[in-house]
Amino acid sequence: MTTPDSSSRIDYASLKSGGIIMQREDEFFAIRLNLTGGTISADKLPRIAEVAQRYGRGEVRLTARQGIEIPWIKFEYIEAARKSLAEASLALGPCGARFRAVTACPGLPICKKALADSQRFARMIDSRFSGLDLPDKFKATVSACPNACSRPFESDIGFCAMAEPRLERDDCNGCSLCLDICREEALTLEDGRPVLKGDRCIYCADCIDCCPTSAWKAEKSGYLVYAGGRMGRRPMLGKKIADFVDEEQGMKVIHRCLDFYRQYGNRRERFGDVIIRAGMDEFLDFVMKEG
Amino acid sequence: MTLELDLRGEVCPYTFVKTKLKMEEMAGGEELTILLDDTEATANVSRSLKSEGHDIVDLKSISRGVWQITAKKAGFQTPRKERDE
Repeated sequence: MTTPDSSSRIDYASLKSGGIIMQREDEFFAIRLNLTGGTISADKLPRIAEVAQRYGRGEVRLTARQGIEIPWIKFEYIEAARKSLAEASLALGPCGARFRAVTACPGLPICKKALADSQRFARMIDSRFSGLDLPDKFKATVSACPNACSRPFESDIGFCAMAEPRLERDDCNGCSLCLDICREEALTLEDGRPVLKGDRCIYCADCIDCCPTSAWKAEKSGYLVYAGGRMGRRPMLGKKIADFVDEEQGMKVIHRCLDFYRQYGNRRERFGDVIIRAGMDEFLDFVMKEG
Repeated sequence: MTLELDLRGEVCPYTFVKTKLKMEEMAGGEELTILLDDTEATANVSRSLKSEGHDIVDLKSISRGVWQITAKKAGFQTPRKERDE
């Protein structure tokens, strides 16, 4: 156990870089861990428990964004706690005006509604962007289907996997199960076969999934990208800025969004407000331009 | 002879569990007709049967809200019942 006089060895730079949060009583701190997508291997849990018991009050809490925090750590034990966590490859979660830990739904291969491996994409995004300094906090999430469990429409940047259905008429047996399954009433029967009506389809792929003869195919699939959303003090929903992108294209979109945010954003101005101030057209021109 | 399984009134996951148990008693190539009165369960049972390698021979609505799946068991193995006897 580290002795209280170790406070002279506290690395202030790393404290500022995030993960260590001052509590109401300023002698106590909470340590935030980065659990990308809310997933952690079970063999790391004992170390979290050990740090909480040794340096905190044996308390561990879940954050609203799929993370874990260990509260009640005294200032002089921060360095020792941090080292102990680092030994178990437990990374600290970014706080403040930075690119925050990336959240995600369970995705493939766990969830039966999933259309994508949202956890894998979240890890890709996290390893590239998490902790970057930005004008204000910036939250990214990945959902594997339009049920949007990880709330992509309420994030600074949100990815939501979708698939556009197309019917192979010759393979359809006309059972009409898809009409009953579709929750958007986006299908109607014509000559005994289902057809999409209007623009009601939200690309959830329930029709593709339920079809007993596999007559429904995915014409296009990938992530739809939503930008500028947030909850908190002044909630607003993100706007769709790209259709059916793959992971690599998605990474480029994030990169361009962050370039835009850094170039146009004022200190403590959220991404969505910068988009509104600059204008959606201006923003889209910037993001879609090669750079 | 086509075997029958009436799962009306049953919900997921019992619909599939009962289907799976029934399929285990059957020989490869034998057909099972399943009755269900829940759309979601119909989709789930059909999807699960397909993913276990069985054939969906037919799937149709036979009256309002009632679905009938006809599935053919994959393979040619002897049913468990006969093996056990």
